[in-house]
This record gives sequence, C-alpha cells and structure tokens, in this order.
Amino acid sequence: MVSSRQPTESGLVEAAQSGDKDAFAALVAPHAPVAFRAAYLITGSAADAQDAAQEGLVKAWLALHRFRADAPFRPWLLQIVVNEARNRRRSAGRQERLALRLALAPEETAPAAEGVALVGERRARLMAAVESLREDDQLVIAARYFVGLSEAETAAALSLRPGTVKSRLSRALARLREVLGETP
Amino acid sequence: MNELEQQLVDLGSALEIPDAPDLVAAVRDRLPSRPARRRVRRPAPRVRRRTVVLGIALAVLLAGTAAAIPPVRHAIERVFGINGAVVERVPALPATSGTTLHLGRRIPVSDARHAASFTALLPPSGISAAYVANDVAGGRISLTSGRLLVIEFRGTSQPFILKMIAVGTRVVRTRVGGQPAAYLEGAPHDVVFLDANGQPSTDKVRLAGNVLLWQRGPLTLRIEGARSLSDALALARSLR
Repeated sequence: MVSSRQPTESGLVEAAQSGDKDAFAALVAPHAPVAFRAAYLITGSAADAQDAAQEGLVKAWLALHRFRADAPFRPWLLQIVVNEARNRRRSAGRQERLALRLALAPEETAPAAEGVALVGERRARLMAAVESLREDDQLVIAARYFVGLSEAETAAALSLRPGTVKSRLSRALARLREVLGETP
Repeated sequence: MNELEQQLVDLGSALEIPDAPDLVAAVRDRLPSRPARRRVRRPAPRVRRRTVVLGIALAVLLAGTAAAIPPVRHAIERVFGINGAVVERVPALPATSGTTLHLGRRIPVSDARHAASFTALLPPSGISAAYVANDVAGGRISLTSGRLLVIEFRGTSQPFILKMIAVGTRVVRTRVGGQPAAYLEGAPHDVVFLDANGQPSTDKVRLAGNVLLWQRGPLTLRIEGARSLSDALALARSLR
C-alpha cells in the first residue's frame, strides 16, 4: 500500500537505519546539492567534490546507526561530507584554502555593460578579501554565506562549537571590512 | 544580515560552481546491503557470530592484537566507508610486538609461485627470500625484496577493504592494476581479513611504517616497509 503522506525526516532516518536504501536515498536527496557545493568549494575540483560527496553519503549510510533520529540530519551529513572533502584536500598536499572562482556574469543580469563591470569588480574585490583571510575563517565564511548554512549548521558541519563559529564570523567580517577599506 | 553579509551571499551566488551531479543514484547502487546496525545494549561485550558488516569486509587494519576478533567486530559495527574502503580511526594503536616476522618456512624463491593454494604474484627480479606459512586458510606467501616485504594470501572476492588506522595515520587512496588500493602512512597496524572460508583472521603487519594494501582477483596483497607510495607502487605494479 502506498501512502500519499510525505514521510518525515525522522521517519526516513528510522527506515534507513533499518536498512531501507530507498528511504536513505529520499533522506539524502534534498541535501546532496548543498553537500556537493560545500565539497566543491573545499576541493576546487568537480571530480574531487563528486567523490567526496558520494563517499560522504556512503559513510553516512554506514554510520547511520550512530545518528539520533530526532536530531537535524543535514548538519550531520554535511559534517561527514565536509570532513571527506578536507581530508581529500590534505591528502593531495594542498593547503586548506577555498577554491573560489567567479562565474562569468551573463549579460542579461545587469542592464548595461558598465553595471556588469561594476558588479564584477565589487565581487572580485570581495573575493580577494575573502581569500586573504585565515583558512579557518574562510571556511566559516564559505559555510555561512556561500553554502547558506545557519550558524548552528556551520558549527556542526565544521565540527566547531557554536560560540567558535560566532567569534570566527565576527573576526572574519571585521577583517574583511578592514581589507576592503584599505583597497580602493 | 548587514550589507557586507548580503554582499557575501551575492558573491556566493556568483561563484563558478558546477551543477551537482546525481549523487544519490550513483551512491544508491553502491550501498552495502545492510547498514551498520544500531548499537544494542548487551549485558556483555560478547558479539554474536552473525556480525553486521563482515559480509563486505576483506581486510581490516586493526588496532588490537592478533587475538582481538571481538574488538574487530565491535569496530566493524562502527565503521564508515570510503568507496570500497572503510576506515575506522581509533585514538591510539598499541605498539607492534617484537621483531620476529613469523613469515613461515623459508622456501626457494623458484618455488614461491606455487607453494600455496594459489598462484602467487612475483616481481620480475629482486626477491631475496621467500616464505610460506599455513596459518591462514589457503596459505600465505611472503617475499622480501630489499627492505620491502610482500605478503599475499587468499581473501574473499569481495571488493572491499576495511582498515583500521590510528589518528595521525594518513590514508592515500590509489590504484594498483586498476583496482582500488589503500596506502597508509604513519603507524603500525595489524591486519584482519576474511580468509578463504569467510572467517575473520588476523595477521600482524611485520614492518612498522607504511603499508600498501590492495586486492587482485581472489588475493589480498600488501607491501610493507616502503619509504614512499611511489616505492610501494613500483613494486606492486611489477608483480606478475
């Protein structure tokens, strides 16, 4: 019998914990794009990000028995994927810095070429300022604003205390203002 | 959200990030048939014979000693996986015991290929000694080549490697002959694997240091004592 009611996240967790792969697929599907985005920002490679995200999902499946069904699932999943991406980056011998690259702005997103140029310049300055931050500050900035996580989710994904996220964000934003103020 | 934060959100939307591939479909087919079971409180640490993840296991680099099968099973219940490899990190590994290698009976190098129940793989040259042991179902062949030690035995045909490593041990995933391989640097290990009968067995890593572990057909192979991954891979890829 097929129920028309949408299963809850905790229901999917419990079903997945019992070995239901379809429930697991339904559970992780909404979070897979953000997991990939986070992995890509860390690894800077679509292939590595895909590997990290996929392996993170497999890890999540294997570790699901440790997850409390009443806890928020997304931060827990992201923590696994982010760790995987960071490990890959370290294993490759690369520094843990964000891999930022601006996409080319499509012409229709701004009314005129001058506007496009100004927006692009502002973004480029801000990106350079972010890249000048300490690595751990870059990560909280990326998680909070580029991936779109809440502070609590950022803390979980990066295995930090919420207070640490707050202080790092505050420090990073202050540093960004300083850098942007110094750069004409 | 203040103006700077708004600008950061805007920057995030302007970053060049590829569209996410269909991760779930790809992963769905790779999931082992059963996830690790939810931990059940038991009156004693004794573990039932029917252990959760053993069906997918080939080999485990283990923190315990050779007699530590229950801890292995306990650990396997807590594993988390990477592709074919599953890694369990533990706070500390015990020191490897002694310097005796226990490689078994020394045999002529010319006999090494057929001295066990399987056809052993040999490097084209450079073998200084060969040994056979029968403490593993199907036998175990060990070869010394310079400072490197090659160990071969018949494992299961499951394409999974489980390994347990200490915090601080670096795991590098690589490939040997197109098959997934794991290179572990930085800590000694014991190895636990499923033997030809599907039963968990332990095998000590003889040489402290780095280990390259992979599977080729029905065989599990490992190289110990390599100074670098490239050294280990060069020997691994020369095996025929």
